[in-house]
Amino acid sequence: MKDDTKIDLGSVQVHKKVFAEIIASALKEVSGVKLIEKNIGNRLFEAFGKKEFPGIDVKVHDNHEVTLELKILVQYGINIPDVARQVQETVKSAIDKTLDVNLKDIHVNVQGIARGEK
Amino acid sequence: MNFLTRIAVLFYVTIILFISSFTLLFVLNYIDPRHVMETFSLIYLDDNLRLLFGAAAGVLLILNYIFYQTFTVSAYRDHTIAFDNPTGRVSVSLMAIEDLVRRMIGQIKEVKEVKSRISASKKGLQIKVKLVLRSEGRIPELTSRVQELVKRKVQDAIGLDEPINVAIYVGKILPDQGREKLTAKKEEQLKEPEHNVPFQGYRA
Repeated sequence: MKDDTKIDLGSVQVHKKVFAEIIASALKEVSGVKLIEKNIGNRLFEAFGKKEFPGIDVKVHDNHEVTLELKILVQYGINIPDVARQVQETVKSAIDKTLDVNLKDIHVNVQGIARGEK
Repeated sequence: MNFLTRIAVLFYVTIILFISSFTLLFVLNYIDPRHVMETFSLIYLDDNLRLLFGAAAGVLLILNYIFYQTFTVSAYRDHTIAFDNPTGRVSVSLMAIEDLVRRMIGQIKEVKEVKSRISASKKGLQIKVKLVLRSEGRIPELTSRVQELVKRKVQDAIGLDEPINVAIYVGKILPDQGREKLTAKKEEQLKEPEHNVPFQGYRA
């Protein structure tokens, strides 16, 4: 699935994985947050050379609007609404800066408290 | 339906199809019991076949366990409470809140073990906490402290003003080890005479 952006000289297609890469890098800037851990299936795919981003789901609608669904783990002791808002803003600004796409929604799903943290 | 779900469905459909077809054929006398027994004895007597079937059984067991874990955990993770931000929806898995509650209560020194279960309904959040305590002292005080802490921290963490009901069940109280050691020491001291005087208590 690819998202088309029409320009005068032709069309530019951006793969969903590019979104995932940008989001994964942007999330590193938000402290106390990480994407959900990879499961056996993801690791198996990675062993065969397919890069996996569990917890990032990119949906491109017919009108070229993009909805992102992020599944994250947060560190213990962090205020979840604040960190979720921060995640949404960071991801939005990273996507706006890098790809000129129409972001519809960024849904954040907090799946758990990160292990090994305080 | 994602990839893993498709594999799981295929797996169980194949197994059920095999078992039911075999049973039907067996009941309808299409399969001779002697052939079945012969096949079983052949497998039993051939080391390679035994190894092969054993490995297949092991793989099936592992697959079954993975499917069970994946579907039960992911089904439970789908239970969330949600609130809307201008940029999109934020949903918090009930499992995450359970983790939070466990970590929070685990930091109280009187608590040895903690299990929590959370359900969300129209009435609000229902948090059930099962505790194993270290000492017997002041349980009502401790439990009310736990209830207050859970209520306050969960409200702070998820930022919702929904009513939160915290039910606590004390499953076990472990004896205070420090006090137990002290009592044992005292008993030992009482048993031992204060001075070892030879012929003490001897009367001629």
